[in-house]
Amino acid sequence: MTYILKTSHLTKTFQGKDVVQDVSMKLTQGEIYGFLGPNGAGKTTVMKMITNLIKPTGGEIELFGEKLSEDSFQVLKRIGSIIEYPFFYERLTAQDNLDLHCEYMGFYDKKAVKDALELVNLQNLGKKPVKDFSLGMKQRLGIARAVITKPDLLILDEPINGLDPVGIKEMRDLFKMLSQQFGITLLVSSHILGEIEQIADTIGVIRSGRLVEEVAMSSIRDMNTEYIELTTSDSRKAAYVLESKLNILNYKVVNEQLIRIYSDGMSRGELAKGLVNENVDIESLTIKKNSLEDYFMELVQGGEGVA
Amino acid sequence: MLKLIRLELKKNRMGGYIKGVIIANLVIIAFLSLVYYGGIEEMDRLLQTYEGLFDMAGTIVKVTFVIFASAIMSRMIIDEYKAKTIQLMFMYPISRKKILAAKLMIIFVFTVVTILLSTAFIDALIIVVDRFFNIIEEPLTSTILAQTSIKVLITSLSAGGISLIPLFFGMRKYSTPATIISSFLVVGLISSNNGGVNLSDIIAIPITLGLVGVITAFLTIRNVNTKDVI
Repeated sequence: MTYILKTSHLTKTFQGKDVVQDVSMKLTQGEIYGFLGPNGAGKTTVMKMITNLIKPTGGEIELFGEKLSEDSFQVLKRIGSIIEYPFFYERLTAQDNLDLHCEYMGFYDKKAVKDALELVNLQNLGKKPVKDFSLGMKQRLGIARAVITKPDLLILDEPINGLDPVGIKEMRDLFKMLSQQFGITLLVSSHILGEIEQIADTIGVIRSGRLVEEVAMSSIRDMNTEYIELTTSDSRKAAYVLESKLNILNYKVVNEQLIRIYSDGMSRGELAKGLVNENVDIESLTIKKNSLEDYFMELVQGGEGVA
Repeated sequence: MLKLIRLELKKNRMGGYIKGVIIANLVIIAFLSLVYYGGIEEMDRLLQTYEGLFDMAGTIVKVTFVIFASAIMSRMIIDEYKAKTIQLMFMYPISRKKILAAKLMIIFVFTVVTILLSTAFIDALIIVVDRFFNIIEEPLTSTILAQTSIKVLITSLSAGGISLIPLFFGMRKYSTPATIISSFLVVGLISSNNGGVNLSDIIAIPITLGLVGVITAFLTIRNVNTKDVI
């Protein structure tokens, strides 16, 4: 099992406070790892430790099988990233910024700049300096810069920040393509669960500095049972009926109008009949599937919400 | 390392600074011309010797370009930290020490070269102009020339070191004003004239400060790998 990235008991204490605690995560080659967590959970700090911008207080990081030390820098040749927000030399043009990037990376492919700009849909910019770019354009340029050298590991901190829906879809396709066609490993952090759900192979959930779960997306999908969502005018009455008359115990009252029924074995038709017989009025009765959002909410329950 | 230096020069559009250097020189010449002209009227004692005029020229040149260098340092180092592009630089497969060293070398060499050339140029100009106006009483001997050359060399080298001292102040809070003001204060302090005598005359002082600057640079470079880049 080749782990592109492995952290063991990674800890960072900042002014007495544990910003990151005992985080042990593993990324296998070629996968897309979705890094989820509420604001301030420590995602960016972990990413900065991986790229050696911040030194860990404890634990270790292994990149491509080699331990990361204070003086390591050669390994950075194989990593492309956007962390927090892409910073550029604002007075220079997009082309100049990317040219500089290639020079510093030791990457010598003249065509690559043009291809990368095409890939993120940033053509015909001419001599425009980056300081005149919109947020979306800067974000795209940041992504172009991260992928231009086709690095083995891509670390993207909220990459779709500031993009319009079309841009979001384009990036989603781009990430999938990079992973499938080029075998690039991606570590993507996001608040947009729906997006992560669509591209991630593995999910890591971090909360208050701790990695509370690391699980394959496929397990979540299997784990998710279907449930029936019942909308009624009086959920308490309906609940009573479910329990006493229909013998359904596995349910949850969401609010005064909504009940979720988890037990299988009873079809919608039977359920509807049973309820109607007891004079429970049914506004709607639909089959639903648990989404990543529900799973995530449960994991971070009690913490801050999603941005 | 050369490649790093080349990229730094390209990134910061150093070509533009050459214009600035030339303009600074012209301003200094204009100022000195006024002093010289004033001397014709008043027979100022200071202008009786070549040494007096050369010293004055040298001091003005030194102060000008040490402050100029602090502006460059501000642009090349402090601004990168402020704009966070230093984060970008530190994510490249290049030793951080080399990155900083390249920047500091440019600043040091800039200071030494501009002071050396400007002082030589202006001193030569003084000699030539005086051929016409004959204000300066003493003859121009080779001793004077030799002494002046050594002085200019030592001044420019120590100024190179002194130009690195603002690094300490600027890196505290990544502040451009702190960088420039500190350079102003340091070089102003050692160059101020108090009845014809200034601190730079005690040759140990500029040399020591020059070394302090170089040591500051070394320490900054040494610590760069351990410091967090937030």
